[in-house]
Amino acid sequence: MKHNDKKLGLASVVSISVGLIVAISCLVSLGQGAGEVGVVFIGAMVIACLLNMTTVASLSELNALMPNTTGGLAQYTLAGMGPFPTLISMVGGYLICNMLSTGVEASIFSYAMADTFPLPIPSIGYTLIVTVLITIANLYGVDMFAKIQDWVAFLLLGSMLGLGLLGMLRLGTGTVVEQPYAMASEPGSVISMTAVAFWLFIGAEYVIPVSKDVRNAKRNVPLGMMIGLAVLCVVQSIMIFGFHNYTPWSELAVSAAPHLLYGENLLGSTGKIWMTLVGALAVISTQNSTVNGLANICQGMAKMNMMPRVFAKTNKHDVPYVGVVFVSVVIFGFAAFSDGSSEAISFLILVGSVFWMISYILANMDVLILRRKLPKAPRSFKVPLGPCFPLIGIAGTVYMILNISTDPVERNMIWILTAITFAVLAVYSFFWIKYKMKMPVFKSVPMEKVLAMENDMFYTIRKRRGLWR
Amino acid sequence: MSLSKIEIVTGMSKFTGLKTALSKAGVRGMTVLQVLGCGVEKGTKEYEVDENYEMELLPKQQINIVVETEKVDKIIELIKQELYTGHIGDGKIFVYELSNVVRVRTGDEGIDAL
Repeated sequence: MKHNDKKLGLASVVSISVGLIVAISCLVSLGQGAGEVGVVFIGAMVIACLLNMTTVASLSELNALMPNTTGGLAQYTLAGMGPFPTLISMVGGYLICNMLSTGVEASIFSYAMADTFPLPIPSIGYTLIVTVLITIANLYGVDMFAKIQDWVAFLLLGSMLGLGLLGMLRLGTGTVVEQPYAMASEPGSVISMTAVAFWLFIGAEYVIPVSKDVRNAKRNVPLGMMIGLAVLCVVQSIMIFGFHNYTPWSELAVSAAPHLLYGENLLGSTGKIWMTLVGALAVISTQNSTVNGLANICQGMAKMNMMPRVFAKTNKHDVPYVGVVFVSVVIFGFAAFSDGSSEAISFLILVGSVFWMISYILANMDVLILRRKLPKAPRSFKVPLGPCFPLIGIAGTVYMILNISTDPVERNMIWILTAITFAVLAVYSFFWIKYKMKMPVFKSVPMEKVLAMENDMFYTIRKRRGLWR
Repeated sequence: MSLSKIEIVTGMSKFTGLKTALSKAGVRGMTVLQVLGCGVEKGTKEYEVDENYEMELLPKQQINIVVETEKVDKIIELIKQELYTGHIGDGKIFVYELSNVVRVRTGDEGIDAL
């Protein structure tokens, strides 16, 4: 791609980096987390934000070492650790987990819209409309995706900031609540809340799949992701001060939709409608990012023969259209399916999230491994202080996995189901790598070979000679 | 002040970006040649399965610049960052010590001739 063809600037990188993070579940976690410990939840948020920044920094270094790869994330682990962990983490952590979670988000969105704006259509109709529009827009290319993302992220963050400032400065029309700022003072209770706060910042790496379309990617990709996380941390902190002034902590902690409760307490029915629209924007943003990101990841994996070749096909706008349609259909399917059983799906999301977090751990490990393999390769971005930050990222993410649920019974169930899912994915991955890719299962692939897979001829020649099935 | 010659052999598509980066770094003057050559892969394309038996020469460009020796490390780092893609064929950089440079028009020598 020529330099001039690159369409996305720093603003787009920031909007994409916040795109997947801000979801309705994120607004719920924000309200419930603040309800538990008060404004000191901001401390937990800062720790979680910094932890996510370590992973984002590691991914930026990997992107600098292996620039312009399609999808990005799968290639790093393939070069660092081989096809087996790559396939498990990408299928479990990204494809299944994110399509499930976005489907549930879309389902929650449909209920909220039907409740606030009742139309004579089934509630799932709202999801169908959004899904069709996002699919069509994404089929028109990365610039259309980015335009939508820019506007949605601007309106989303602007609304969250506006609602937060109105509450913080006590400018709402509702009754101001007098309550203590902090509901917990000991550091232990704040640190334990980082497991909740972690979800408020997960997903900034969805910039990586579009990094080949970013102008001055060496600077803008790491900078944009860092700015996105920092902006989110500030905006959400302001909202917590707003919560303090208008919503009793005890009600926030137990509410199923604390953001709507805050909106109503702040500005009455206008606030509730505004907050519903914030939720709608969050879903559009999440779905848009997921469709684009996962379609690119599928395309990259297809180039490496990790998925059926059809996912690598592109239309005249250079969009992997099979992936776009596939991801959209699956998201809609999960949204329709989770209508009556969202608790079961939410549980499955937590299982998928373990794989997502494992892929974060793998990214940090990839950095350390590739530094050892290629110590002198030029990196336009390198995580400072040697192995310190990747190791902190690994330790912190392990802590998040160990504290994925506060309920010990649910936690054990998550781990058991994770182990079963791992076993199933391991069998699938083993046979796929052994018989479809015909590669050593546990051996890493040299970086130059991984990068060569970007060329369509790599697949064609191996297919023709029977080296790949 | 001693001088060094930096010779860069790289693919044809990377010249514009490299020229801009070197200009920004204060390099004054360069010589560019279109050449044929190959490296340790004997000209084998990166997607091929087997390595070429015999060397196949590929079109490349050779960029020659002369700089103060003390600036060599900085310039090389800049060139590496600019040319790097991670793919086979990013190129090679050769550095030579230079005994003198003479500007014919003025008779200046050494650093004054750059």
